[in-house]
Parts: sequence; C-alpha cells; structure tokens
Amino acid sequence: MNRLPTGMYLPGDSPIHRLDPRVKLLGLFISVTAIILVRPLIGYGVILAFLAFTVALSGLSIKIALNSVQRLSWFFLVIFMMNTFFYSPENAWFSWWIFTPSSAGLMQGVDVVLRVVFALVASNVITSSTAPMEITNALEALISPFKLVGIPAEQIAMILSIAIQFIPTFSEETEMIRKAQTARGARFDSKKLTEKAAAVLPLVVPIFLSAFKRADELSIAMEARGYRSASGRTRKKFAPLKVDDYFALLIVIAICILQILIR
Amino acid sequence: MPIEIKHASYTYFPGTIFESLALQDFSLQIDDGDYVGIMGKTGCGKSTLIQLIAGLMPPLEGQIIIDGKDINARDYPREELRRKVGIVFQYPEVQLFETSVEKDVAFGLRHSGLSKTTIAENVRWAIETVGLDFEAIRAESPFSLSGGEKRRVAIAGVLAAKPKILILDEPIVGLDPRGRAAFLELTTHLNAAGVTIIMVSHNADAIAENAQRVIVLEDGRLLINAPAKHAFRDVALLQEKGIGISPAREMAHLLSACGHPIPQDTIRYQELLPFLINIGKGASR
Amino acid sequence: MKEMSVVKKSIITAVCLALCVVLPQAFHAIPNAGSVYLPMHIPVLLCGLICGWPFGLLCGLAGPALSTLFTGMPPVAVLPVMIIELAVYGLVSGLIMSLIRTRKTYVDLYISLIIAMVTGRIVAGLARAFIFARGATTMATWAASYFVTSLPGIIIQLVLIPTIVFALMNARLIPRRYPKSA
Repeated sequence: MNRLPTGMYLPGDSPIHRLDPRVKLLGLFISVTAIILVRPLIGYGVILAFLAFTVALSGLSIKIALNSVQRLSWFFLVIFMMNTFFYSPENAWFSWWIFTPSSAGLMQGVDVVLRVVFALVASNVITSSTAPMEITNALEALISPFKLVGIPAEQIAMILSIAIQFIPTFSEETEMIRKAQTARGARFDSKKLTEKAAAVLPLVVPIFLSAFKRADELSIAMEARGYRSASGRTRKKFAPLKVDDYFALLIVIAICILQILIR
Repeated sequence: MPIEIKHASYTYFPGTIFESLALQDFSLQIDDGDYVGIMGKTGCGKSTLIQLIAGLMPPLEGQIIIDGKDINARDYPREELRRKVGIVFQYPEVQLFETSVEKDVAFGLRHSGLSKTTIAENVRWAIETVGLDFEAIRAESPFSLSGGEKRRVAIAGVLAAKPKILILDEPIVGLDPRGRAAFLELTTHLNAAGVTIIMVSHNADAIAENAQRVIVLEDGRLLINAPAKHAFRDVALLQEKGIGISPAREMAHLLSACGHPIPQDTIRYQELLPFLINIGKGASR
Repeated sequence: MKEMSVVKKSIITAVCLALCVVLPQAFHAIPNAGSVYLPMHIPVLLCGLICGWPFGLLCGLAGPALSTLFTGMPPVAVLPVMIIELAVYGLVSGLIMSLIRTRKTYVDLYISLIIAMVTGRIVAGLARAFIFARGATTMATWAASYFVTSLPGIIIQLVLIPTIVFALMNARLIPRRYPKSA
C-alpha cells in the first residue's frame, strides 16, 4: 500500500509546530471535548472555522489533515447508512422490510460522521506536526500527576504510543486474513449458537497470533537494546510555556466554553 | 475453463474525494492450464485483479467469467467458486488457526459437501504434495512448526480443495533459496497436472523461469500481455517503467549490445547457458 | 504463568489495546457482530489473563477510549459505562488468575473468565443505575441487557478466549502456565 501512514510526523516550522507539545496534547483533548459538546448549527461553524484556521496555520496540506478520513470512509458510509435507515421508524419516508429511512436519521448520520471527521482532523494536525517522541513525552508530563497515587505514568505513555503505532498495521493484516479465510471457504456467521464461536475462530485466532508475534519481536528487540522498563528513563525537561502557548490554550478553552453556553 | 475478464473496472472509495482507480476497463483472457506471471509496480492494480478473479470482491463495472459463468451473478454458487479457485496470499502462514495440521488443511473442505473419505484423501494428498510427511505432522499443532513448515501447511490448506485455478500473491517472499526452488517446482508440477497458475511477483527471475505468459500492469491498465519469451523483449521500456527483467534476459541484452549474436527471446538461465559456453570457448581460443 | 518481563507485558498490553480498535472493525462484515461477539471484550480479558491485573486494568480503561478516538465507536454516550465494564474485566480476570492455581490451565482460565465477566456486568449495571442513568435502569432491564442479550456472547467468549490462549502457548508466544502438563 503506497499511502501515508496515519499521523505520520511531517517536520516543519509553523506556529503549530512550535507550540509546546503539552499544550498541543491538552488542546487536542479540549477541542475533542468541544466537538463532542457541539449542539446547534452555529457550533459546527465555529469548530469548522477553528479547524480550518489551525490547518492553515500548521502549513499542512488538506490531504494530510484528512489523511485517516480516507481510510475510514467505508466505515463512515456504514455509520451514515445505519443511522439513515434504522434511526427511527417515526416520520420515516417509507418503510420497507426492516428499513425505515428518515430525515431525522439522515441528520443523525451526518452529525456522527461530521464529529468523527472533526476529531480526526484535530488529531491529524497534532500528530503530523509533533514528533512521536514529543507526544510521548508530553503525554508522560500530562499524566505524571497520577504518579503521586502510584501510577507509572511513563510506562503508560509508552504503552499507549506503541498501541497507536500498531493500529494501521493490524487493520491491514486483519483485512488480509479475512480475505484469505473467505477464499478458503470460511463462513463467519452461523445461525446456531454452538457454532457461532467456531465460525469466527478462523478470523480471531490468526489475528491474535500475528499481533502477539509482533509483540514478541518488538519486545525482543527492545530488551536486546537494553530497554528494561520505562521507569528508569530520564524525563525530558520542558521549557516554560511561551506567550503563544497560553494564547493557544485560551482559544481552545474559549471555544469549548462557547459550545457549552450555546447548547 | 478459461477465465475471461471483460471490461472490468474497480475504484476504491468511489464517489468520494478519495476516489482512487485500481483497474480501468480491463479485459483479459487466461486459458486453461496456463501459467501466468503478473508483474507491475506497487499500486498498479495487481492485487485488485487477483482478488476480482478469486471473487473476493465484485468489479464495479464489467464481468469476471469463469467457465462461461459470471461469478458475481446472483445465482452463481459461491461454494463452487471457492473450490475452483484457490488463492495463496503473501505470508499465508498467518491464516493457520486449528489445533492440528490435519484439521487446518481440511478447513476449506468443511462446507464442500465432499464425503469424509474424499476429504481425508485430499488432505493427505495436499500435505504430501507440499513435501511434508503426512503421518509425522498430521496431529501437530500448526503453531509449533518451523516457519517454512507453517507456510507449507498453509499452502496445503489451499491445495486441499484441489483448485483448478491457483492464484499466488508474492508466494516466495521470505523463503530461503532452497524453499524458493522447492516452491516454484511445486507450481510447475501442479501446472503440468493441469492447474492454471496465476503468480504475482516482483521477482522477474521467478516469473521468467516458470511462466508461459507474462502480464504487466500499469496504473490499472494492461501494459504487456505476451508469451513470456516476448514479454521481456523491450528491455528499455521495462526499465523505464521500473519493472524488473530476469538476470538471463539482462545478460543476453548486454551481450548482444556488445556484438554477440544472442536471440532476444532468451529469458531463462538454461537458454543462456549454451551461448555463454560458446562465448567462453571463443574467448579461450 | 512463568514470569514475562515487564517490557514484554507492556508490549502485549499495547498490542491488545490496538486490537480493541481493530477487532470490532473486523467484525463489521458479520451481521449483529457487535452485540453478539462483543469483540472488544476479547483483547481486554486476554490482557488481564496473560499480563496480570495492572495491565488488564489499563487495557480496559484505555481500549474503549482509544477506539472512540480512532473510529467513533463506541459512541461517546456509552463510553463511560463501557470503560467501567471493561476495566473490571481486565482487573478481575488478572486478579483471579493470580489467586488460583488448580494445576490445570483451562480450569484456571474458565474460573477467572466467569468471575470477571459476571463481576464486570454487575459493576456496569450498578454504575448505570446509580451514576449515569438514575431511575432509567431497573433490575429487569439491567438483567435483560447484561445477561440475556449477551448470554450468547458470554458462551462464545468462553470458547474463544481459552482457544486463543492455548494457540499462543503452542506458538511459544507466551509461556505455559504449568510447564509440560496441560
């Protein structure tokens, strides 16, 4: 597959690139909250304007910003269709078999898809403008208060960042396994309860085996390079926040509060 | 039973801004018992093509006709297609999941409607065909085998259905030279027994040495469709398009450029050898 | 099981987290897969069983959140209850697994799984009744949603999960719990 991996870091020198990674991560978290909270149409407008502004400022192309949206487009289609056709039998345009398409469902479908796309664009901008190491460091810094109650923040940050890196690979592998078993004559659905588990074994067992094989290889590689555990690692010291950082935080917080006020 | 692909088109994510064309108005016929090598750069539509032939997805336009029947017709028996067409994906060993080798190889025959004895015979035949000792390995867990054995078992799992058409997607990637040779020999052996082989590979040597017909794709269209001997004729074109040529062909090309009379349909090592010997004799004289 | 290094456990947890996102998508092609097979439960339970309770807990907490972030599923509205349910699965399966040793791997697995799955459903039901949807949940609707509709899911997972564990052991990707004997 000759496509860009999702969230690949693209070095640059835009105002977004220069923001403190902790601010970017926190900002992402707050913007996603705002996206979840959106209610009226004008709210969508505000989010859209904000995202467009951020993308423009980051100097990343629209294509990069919409990167993983492409990968998920079939999923969006499913979500959209499901909502349109099954949302509610009330006020349906017509009713045929189990399908009850309605304008309320259509709106709901648009709504869900739009929110996910917004959230994806927001996280694409952050992951494309921030080196993976920086993200991990920032995550570590942000969850380090948890260490006071005995939670190993660095290790959790390491686990999360590895997990995120594995997602696209596993997606492709899973699709391959599904096709290979289908070609061998597998049927993943069975009417009988007793056979339902057996029906998905040809799918699930290979997925886990290939995933654990990767885990095995990676852990051998890491241990061979002398990686014992995250706790011994020296934490990166962050420079104090700059004016830009405070300003960026202020904007996202304002947008989030606005979404709550106009709900 | 020829495979006819008639004006097939396939587009990923049609109607969105992410639309990407994989195959465009693509027509091709593959005859019974042929050994076809498919080449092309990544993203040229090779994988789409073989998945269409295997019936894993329907073309958006056009038809795939096997044995005179449209395989995507509503009343076409899917089970029959699964038995007729076998596909071995890259790294097929990931598809193993059963508790024993025997069960895993028999998996594809579960819905075949064949009798128990026929299934058992097919399984034994498939395991022995890939060069494994049936009695020694039948009860083993497929996961405890070595990498090479795993791949053989996975291929046996496809062969057990005795497909008349066998599609191979980069089958020799990751094999050692001996495993590679053994596998390619298996394909010619199956081909000699009447199985149509369709092999996708970046390895020009493997294709030149084994295929009778070579197909080169570019941007979802047919660039070359010719008997293997002629497919590699235009070295400059293939190099320009970033498609490999076999070492034997490349050597013949270079030698003829140096003024040695070597036919330009020399693509295999064995064909090149007599000329090399002659040239060697000439030099020592 | 023979102790695995913390590094290996961490990476297995990362892999299980990634599967929390990928596996539900893989089940899309199967009708009704989400509610019948409960695909996200599998990596969380496995993570608890294989890596122990701290890792299982992390997987249960972060798995659904990561999935929502990447795919929009589960919808944000059901995310909190789901996180609680899955966190309990990961926590309890790991805890019970470390407490009991019957000398039979599959017995240990079944006991841990059943206790984890029952506790998780009770806790999620309580959370829903007292925190998230007060008054809307009755004993009957809770029992219906958590046990009756998901009973097939429970049975399916009792088959799937031990099968996966034994496959991983055979492939030497995780150590055997009791060397030599089953």
